[in-house]
Parts: sequence; C-alpha cells; structure tokens
Amino acid sequence: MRFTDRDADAAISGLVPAGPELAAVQRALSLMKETLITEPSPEEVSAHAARFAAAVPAPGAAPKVLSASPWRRRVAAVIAVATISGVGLAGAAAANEAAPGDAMYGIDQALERVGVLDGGTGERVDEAQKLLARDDVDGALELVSDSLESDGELEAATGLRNAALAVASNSSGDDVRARVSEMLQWMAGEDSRGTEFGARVSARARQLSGNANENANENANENASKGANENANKDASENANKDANKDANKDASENANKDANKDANENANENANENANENANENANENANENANKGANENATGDENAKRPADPGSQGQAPETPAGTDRPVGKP
Amino acid sequence: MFLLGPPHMANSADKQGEWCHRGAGGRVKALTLKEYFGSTLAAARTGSAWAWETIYRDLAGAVAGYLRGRGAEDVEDLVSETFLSVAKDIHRFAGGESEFRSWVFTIAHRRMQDGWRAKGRQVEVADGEYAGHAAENAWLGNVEREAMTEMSLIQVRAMISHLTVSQRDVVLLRVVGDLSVAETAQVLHTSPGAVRALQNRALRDLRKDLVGDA
Repeated sequence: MRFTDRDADAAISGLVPAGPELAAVQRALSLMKETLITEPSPEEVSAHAARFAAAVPAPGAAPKVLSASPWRRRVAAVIAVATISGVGLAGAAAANEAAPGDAMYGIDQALERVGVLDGGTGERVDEAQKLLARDDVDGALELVSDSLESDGELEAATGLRNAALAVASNSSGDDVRARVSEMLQWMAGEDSRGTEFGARVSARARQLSGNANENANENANENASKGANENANKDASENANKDANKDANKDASENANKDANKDANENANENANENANENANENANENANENANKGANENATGDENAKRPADPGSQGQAPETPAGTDRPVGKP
Repeated sequence: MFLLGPPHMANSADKQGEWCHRGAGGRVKALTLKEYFGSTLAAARTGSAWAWETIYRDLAGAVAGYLRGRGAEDVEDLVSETFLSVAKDIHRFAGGESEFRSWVFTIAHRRMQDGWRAKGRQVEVADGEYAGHAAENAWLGNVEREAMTEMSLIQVRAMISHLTVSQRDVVLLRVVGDLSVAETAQVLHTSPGAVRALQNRALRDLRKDLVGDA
C-alpha cells in the first residue's frame, strides 16, 4: 500500500480528509486523541498555576550563563592558585578521586571549572563507576546523562537513558549494575564525539535492549519449560498413581474374583471330591458290607447246612470249608 | 479488527471532578497562543499566576494524553512534575512557541522514562506481581476514577499495541501532542526523516490492523 506524505500528515492532523487508503486510520486516530486528551478543570488549573508561579525562581536568582570573558579567565586563575594553595597538590589529587556525595567532590568540581583538573564526560564516567560500586545506579546514570546533555551530546544522553531503561526492565540488582557499568566503560573508551558518538551510543543501546529482551525471553522460556516439565511430571505422577491405583484396584478385583472363583472351584471340587469319595466309600463300604454280609449269610447258610444232620443215607462227614468264602460248599 | 466505538468520556468531567474532557464531538485541537505567546512567557517568568494558568490549560491535556497513551503510571503526578520543572527552568528557555511545546514534551518524555527506570529496578513487587504487569494494570488507571474511560483506554491500547515503542512515541506526539515532524524529532532527539519514516510505517501497520490488508 502506498500513500504520500501529504496523506500521512492529513491522517495525523485530522484537519483535512485523508485519502481513501488512510480514511479508516484517520478516524481511529481521531478517536484515540479524543480518548486520551483530557482538559484540566478550572479548579485544577488555578491550584496548579499558583504552585508553578511560586516555583519560578526570582529573576535575580536565575542562573546566568557565564561568558568566557578575559575577566572570567583571570578570576578563574586566581581561584585556581588559591584553591591549590589551600588544598595542596595531594589534596587536588584526592579531590580528583571524589565522586558525588563525597566531601571532596565540591573541590573536585571547583578545580575542574578553573581547568586544574580534567572535567567533562570522561571524568563523569569515572565518577559514575564509583557510584555504581556503591550501588547507586540512578545516581551514576543521572551524572553521565546530565554531563552528556551539558556537552550537547543529546542523542548519546537519550541512548544511555534508553539502554538503562531496557536493562532495568529486564534485569535486576547486580545484573543492572554490571550492564550499566559495562555500557559506561564502553562509552569512556569511545573516541568519537558528536553525531557519530550519539549514533554509536544509540546502536549500543538498541543492542543492549535486544539482548535484554532475549534474556527476558530466555528466562521466560526456561520458566515456561520448567513449569511445563513440573506440570508434566506432576501430571505423569498423578496419572501413574491414578493408573496404578486403577490397575491395582482392577487387578485386586480381578485377583479377588479369580481367587474367589478358584477357591470356590477348589472348594467345590474338594467338596465334590469329598462327597464323591464319601459317597464312593460309602457305596463301596455299603457294597462291601452288603457283599460281606451276603457272603457271611451265605456262609452262615452253609454252616447251617453243615450243622444239619447228614442224610441218613450218606456215610461219614462233609468236608469243612473255610468260612467266608462265597462259594457254597457241601452243597449237594 | 479493533472495536472503535465512541469514547466513553463525554460526561466524565462531572464524575471525576478533576479532569474533564474537551468533548466527544469532532476533532480535538490543541490550543496555541500564537501572538500572545511572547507576552505570556514574559509574564510566566515573573511568576504571574494568569500566565501559568494559560500555559497549563494550553498544554497539560495534551501532555497527560501523551503520557497516558504511552502507558505511564501516575499521569497526574508526572504532569505536575513536568510543569514544575518548566517553572524552575523557565529563565533558561529561549525560543518561540513551537520550541516551547517541544521543550515541555521533552521534559515529560524524560520524566516518564525516569519513572519507568525506577519502576523497572523493582522487577518483582512484594505480592509477587511483576512490575510489568503492575504497570500494565496501572496503565488502565484507577478503577473508580477511570471507570468511565476504561473501555476507551483498552481500545486505544489494543490499537497501538502492535506498534513499536518508537512508532508509538511518534504517533502519540504527532496526534495527541499536535507536534510537527520537526518538533517530534526534537523531543525524541532524532532526525525529521527518521520521524517521517516511523510515522509512515506506523500508519501502514495501523491500516493493516484496522482494514485487514497490507
């Protein structure tokens, strides 16, 4: 889709109808503006205006830009001599090591102003490193970005702020300190100044922002994976337990049934066998008894026959047969 | 496709008591002082209350709108801090109305970044809610106070959520701040060409989301 800069400006300004390509965008942007812009009430305007009016410094107290006049240079030279006499060279060296918040920092700045000590962004970066060592990340950033702005390095100052913002949004504690320190060290080592310096700081800020986002994404992925694994393990355990319980219950039921069936069968068989045996025995016994009785009876009958007096026509006794035999003996 | 119904802010002034809307009908246009700017600035430098009322009425709504659109927290506090800084440094300012507007938005932009940076350092808050989420929730505003506007803010958020941060800055400064391409470039410390490129890309992306084709 192509549209001209004029169409784009029309869509943005909302004052003239945009071309058909951007008509929908123009309507949406107008609604966005109506939604976001609110006008302060008269009461609020009065209250705030009074505060702001009171905050305006008196004209006499307004900071004046010092001009680099010959008189100023002469006064500066006098101050330099007086300051060095006062604090001595060792004192000046000690002051040079001071960072904001230190007792000697005022002297350090005074000596920088008169040119005895080096000032500028390089010096501020060194001081910022000291502040970082004291965990004062905000102080370090403010010191360097203010210094950059004073030097007219607006793009670099913005780049530094953006870099710090990106790092702070995605890191914490020592990590922020380390990354900001790394950024400041890199800036201190940069020789370029002006537009090139600003562009390089901005590029570095974008890189840092990209890394920070990547780290954040990595952490998010790690956490997500960890969470997913934990959940998976938990689910797996739960499922395993559930399945195990289910299987155990199932097995137990099956085994119980099986055992019950088995026992029942066994018992039934046993009983059946017992009964069968019993019956068989009983029958056998009965039969045996019957046979025995029968035999005995029959024998008894034989005995009786034997005991019966011999036929008067016969000579002698009938031969004796063993008792209990089924074969009747002595029968005629 | 986003829902772009009428804003729910038309009568919010009476309910909120503090902020009121410029009106739902028609295009909201920022006020400009034009030929009165010089005299107003001069009076503001002397601490004249009427001059500060004029400046605040002219710019506060747009500054608050820009901050709100960018998802800043404590918008009213940020606006107040911005104008306090303007008051303290008013003697150092040099330029016309266009430069003044750029300057005010530059301070607001910087205050917002400082606020995010301070917030970003506290990655996790006490109750375990991530700072980003807290900021996002706060972006929607105080529930009681913003009840009438919540839906509209959600719609705005949805509309610009696919834009990059730089695109959002450009669109909001251009549309809500009523800044020109050059003024926007000044606020963002970049070139007018870069602003125009970001603006055109943002419009293309917005159209794609709204209409559905490339």
